[in-house]
Amino acid sequence: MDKLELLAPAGDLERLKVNLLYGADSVYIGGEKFSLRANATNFTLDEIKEGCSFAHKLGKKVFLTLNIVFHNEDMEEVFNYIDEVVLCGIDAFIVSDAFIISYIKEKYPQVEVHLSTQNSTTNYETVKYFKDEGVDRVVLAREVGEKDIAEIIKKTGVDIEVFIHGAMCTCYSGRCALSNYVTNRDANRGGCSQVCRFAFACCEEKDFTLATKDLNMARYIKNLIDIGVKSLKIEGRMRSLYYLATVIGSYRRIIDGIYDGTLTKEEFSILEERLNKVANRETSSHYFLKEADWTDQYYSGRVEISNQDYLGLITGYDKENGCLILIERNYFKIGDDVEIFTPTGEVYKYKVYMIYDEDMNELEVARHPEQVLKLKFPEELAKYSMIRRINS
Amino acid sequence: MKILSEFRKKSSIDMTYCDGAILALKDYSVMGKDYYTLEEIEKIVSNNLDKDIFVSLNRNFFNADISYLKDILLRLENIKVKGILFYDLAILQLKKELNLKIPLVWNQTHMVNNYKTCDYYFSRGVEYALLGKEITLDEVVEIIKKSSIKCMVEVVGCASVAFSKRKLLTNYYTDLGKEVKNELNILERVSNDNYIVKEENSGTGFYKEKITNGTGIIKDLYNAGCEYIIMRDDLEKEEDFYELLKDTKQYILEKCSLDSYVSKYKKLGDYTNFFFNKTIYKVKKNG
Repeated sequence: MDKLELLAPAGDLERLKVNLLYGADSVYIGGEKFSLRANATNFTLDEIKEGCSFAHKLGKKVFLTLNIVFHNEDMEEVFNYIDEVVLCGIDAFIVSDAFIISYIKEKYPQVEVHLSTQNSTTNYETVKYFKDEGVDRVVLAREVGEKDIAEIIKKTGVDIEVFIHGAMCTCYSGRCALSNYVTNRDANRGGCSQVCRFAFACCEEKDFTLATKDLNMARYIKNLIDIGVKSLKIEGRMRSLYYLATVIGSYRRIIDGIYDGTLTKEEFSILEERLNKVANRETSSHYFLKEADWTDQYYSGRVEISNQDYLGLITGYDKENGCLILIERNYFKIGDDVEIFTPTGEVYKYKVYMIYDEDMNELEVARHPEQVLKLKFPEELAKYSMIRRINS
Repeated sequence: MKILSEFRKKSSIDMTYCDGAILALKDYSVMGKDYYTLEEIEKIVSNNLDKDIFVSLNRNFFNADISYLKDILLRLENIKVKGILFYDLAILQLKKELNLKIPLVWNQTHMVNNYKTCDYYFSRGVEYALLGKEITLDEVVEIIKKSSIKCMVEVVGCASVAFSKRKLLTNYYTDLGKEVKNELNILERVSNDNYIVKEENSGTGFYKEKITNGTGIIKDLYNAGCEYIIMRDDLEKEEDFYELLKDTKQYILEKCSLDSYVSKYKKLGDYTNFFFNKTIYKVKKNG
C-alpha cells in the first residue's frame, strides 16, 4: 500500500527546505501572483525554480497555489504566469477557478491540477464534475466529515486531500466576503484580514465572536489512512520555522509509526501534546466526527496558552570550542532541561549546564531573542536543528 | 432588461411591476428572504405563466442530499421554472447525468467575477450568471459586454456577506446561557458598520445592514445589455418596494432616460456597495 502524502505549507524558500527536511513529502507555495496569501513573502520565479530543484533532488514535490477568485484584469496576466511557473518545474497547480482548471489541463496535461478547498467541495457529485474536467486531486472542504470523505473516495476514485492541522475558516471557504466589507480587503484575492477573529458589539452583555479553535487531527490519522485519503494537508504558509518543524516532524512520526506499527500510546501522547501546544491556540477535530458546535469556538477573544518552548535555531558548529551555535528565540537558563531535535528525527535530551555568547563569554541566562549563543555539544548537527524546552 | 424580485415573504408576492421572481426552495437554499416548498413554487408558476420564475438551490450539498436533489431537479424540470440558481457544482453535474434541459444560473456568490469564467460555464451549458457583489460597475459592464452568458446583477438589497455551516447564534447564546435567538444585529467598532447575523437550518448568514442602492447604475446595465436586474425587498416598508418596482419598470420602458427616477431614489441612501469602490488585496510589498 502506498503511504499517504504529508503536505506542508511554505511561505518562503527557507520554510520549504525546513518542511521537506523535517519529513513533508510535498510542499505548497504561493507565487508573487494569484495566490490567496497576497501578504505572505511568497516566491519569485527564481525561488520557485530553486525550491522545485531542492524538492526534486529529495524525490519530493512542489505545488503552486493559483487559487484566487479571478477578476477581469487578472485574466490577461495569468496565462503568461502559468507558462512561466510550469517552466520552473512545479508538479501541480492548486486552483479554484473552473476556467483556469480547463485552461491548464488543455495546455499542460502533464501538470497536475488540484481543486482548491476554496471551492468548498462537499459531495461526490461535485467531485465527479471536476474529475470529468480533468482535475487530478480534490482538496475537500473542511466541513466534510469522516463518513462523507470515505463515500466520496469510494464513489469517485479521485485522489482526495484533507486538512489535518491549523487554523480554520469560520465560514465556507470562498463563501465569505467579511474581509471585503469590513476592511475593504478582498478575501478571495489573497487579502483576507481574518475578520472572523474580530469581536463585534451587540445588544447582549458580551461581544459577539465567531472565531474557531484550530484543527488538530492527530488522533484520527489512522482513520484517514484506512478510508483511503491520499494527502494530509497542514495549514499555514505564514507560520514560523519552529511551528513547521514541530508540526511536520510530529505528523511524520505519527504516519510512519502507524504504517510500521511502532507508534506506542506513550509516544503518541507526547506528540499530540506537542501539536496541541505549538500554535498557542486550543484545538479540535471540528466536523470530522460530528457537526461543529459551541465547543469548537472561542467566545472571549482568543484564549491563548502561552508557549515559549522554542528556545533556539541551530545555525552552525564551533569546532574549536565544541559548541553548537544557535540564535536564541526564548528565555532559558542554566539548569533547564531541553531537547535538541534534528530534521532527520534524532532527539537529544540535554541539561543546560553552560551558556556562552558569541565570544565565548559565560552567561547565566539567555534573555535576548535573536542573540547568537553557544552550547557545549559533542557533535555537529544538521542545519535547521532546533532546541525546545521540555520541563514546562 | 427585466426585473426579478426577491419578496420579503410569501404573502408579499405581487409581480404586477416586475418580470419575475427568485424563490428559495426550502431546505435546498440559504440566505433566502423566505422559503418555499415545491408545491408552493408549482402554484406560483402556474399562477404567473407570463413571469420568469427562478428557483434558488444555492446550498452547499453533502452526500446525503444527493438522491433528494435528483428528485427535486426532475420535479423542477416538469414545473417549467425559468431557471435554477446554483452554488454547488453538483447541480451542473446532475443536469448532465440526468440529461435535464432546465436552464441554470451560476450563482457562486462571491466568485462570479470575470468574463472568462462566465464563458467557461456558458460553454458547459449554463445560461445565466448572477454576478458577484464585490466587483466594480466597470467590471460588471465588461463582463456583460464580453461574455456570452446572460447576466443578472443585484441592484437593490442588503448584500449577503458570508455563510457558515456553523450555528453561530446557537453557539453564542449557548455560551451566554441564554435562550437562542435566530437574528442578531452586530456592530464592527472600527468601521462603525452594522451587520445582521441570521441563523437558519443549514447554517448562519451575514448581511450588510445598509441597503445597496444601485438605482443609479441601472442605466449603465441597460446600455451594456444586462439581462436581469434583481431587487431584494429589504426596504423598511413593503409598499415602498412595490413603488420602487413600478418606477423601475417604467424607467426601463423609457430606456432609462428619466432623470427624475434617479433623483427620487436617492432616498434609498448613498451606499453603492462595491460598484464604485475597488477592494484591495495587497497591503505591503514583498521583501
